[in-house]
Amino acid sequence: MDRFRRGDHEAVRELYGLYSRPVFAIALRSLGDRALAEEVVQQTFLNAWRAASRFDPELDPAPWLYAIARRVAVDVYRRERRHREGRREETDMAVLPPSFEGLWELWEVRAAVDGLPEDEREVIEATFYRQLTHTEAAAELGIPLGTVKSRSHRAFQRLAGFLDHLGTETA
Amino acid sequence: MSCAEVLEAVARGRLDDQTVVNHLSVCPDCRARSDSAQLLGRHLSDPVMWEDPSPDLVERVVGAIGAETGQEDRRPSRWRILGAAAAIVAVVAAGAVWGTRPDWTIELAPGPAAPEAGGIVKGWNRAHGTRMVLEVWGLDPADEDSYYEVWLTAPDGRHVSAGTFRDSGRFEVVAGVRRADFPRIWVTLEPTDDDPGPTSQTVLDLPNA
Repeated sequence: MDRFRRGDHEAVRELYGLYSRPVFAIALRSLGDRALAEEVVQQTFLNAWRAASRFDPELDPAPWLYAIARRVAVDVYRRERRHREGRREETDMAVLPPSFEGLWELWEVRAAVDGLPEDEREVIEATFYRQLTHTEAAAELGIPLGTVKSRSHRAFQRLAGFLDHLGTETA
Repeated sequence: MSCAEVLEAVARGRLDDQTVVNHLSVCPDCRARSDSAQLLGRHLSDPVMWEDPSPDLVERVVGAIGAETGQEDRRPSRWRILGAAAAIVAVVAAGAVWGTRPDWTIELAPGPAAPEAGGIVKGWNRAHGTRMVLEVWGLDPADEDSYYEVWLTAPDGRHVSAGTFRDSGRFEVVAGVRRADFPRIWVTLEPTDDDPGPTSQTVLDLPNA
């Protein structure tokens, strides 16, 4: 964090590598637009760098970055809505849409998925997101059916460690 | 079927599978976690979970932070004196490509101090200000004691600097004010001194300014 605070490019890349995808995920979920989500990612890391001197390096940076990212996403959402509807800023305190709910949970799952070994991640992606059966995934990935099953099982065991956290998010 | 296999099956939506039903009926731990497993399954099936930002975004982030860290060293002395940097977020020689369509585009006409110059400004209205990419041509390189400066000016005459450059080219600048409040965008040739305001050496300006 000290290196990040100094603007060390490699430290910026390291922090970005760890957290850019969860930031992007919650921004895309809340705003529904890739370009705006990328704007949120950039502004989040810039704001984090500006505030880094006030961050305790002993703490986990994830909740801190999440809070910054969510705030930036809210700002972007309100700006876009003002732009779209021609609203004035002072009338813009309406309740946020449902897309802003459950974002911390999404962040945690995305971080957990990013933490999977690549071979396990691709099996989870094939079988959950693309809804392939294990047999179809084996053909698609060019690996034996038993390997798909074992990788899927190992991956889910890792992800299951997050199960107890899910459903308690309040952000 | 182990507990992990049951929870995986639940996450995959196989709640009607008789083996799963039987296991859940006798395993309070899995019953307690089945809602979370379904939630995990929904997240894993969500396309958002599998989208990644553009590969070049990391360089934009590094560039944006680098622009601010480097600004301390490169900024002319009068910026430190004035603290006008509160209005300036970043200035960077740009290769930056914004993935989104600009909110507005204007053409700058040559000013009296540079009759051969021209420019185009693309702007993005942001929550905390205005991002702009300037394409400028026809300007001679500034000498060591001067530089070009981009200004945003309000109808009441308040000026805010959006950044400086020294030669024709493409530049990204970010100002901490909104274009709606500071509609005039123009460029002057400035000497390196402590005068906070723009000089009268206008090189680019709005066509009807």
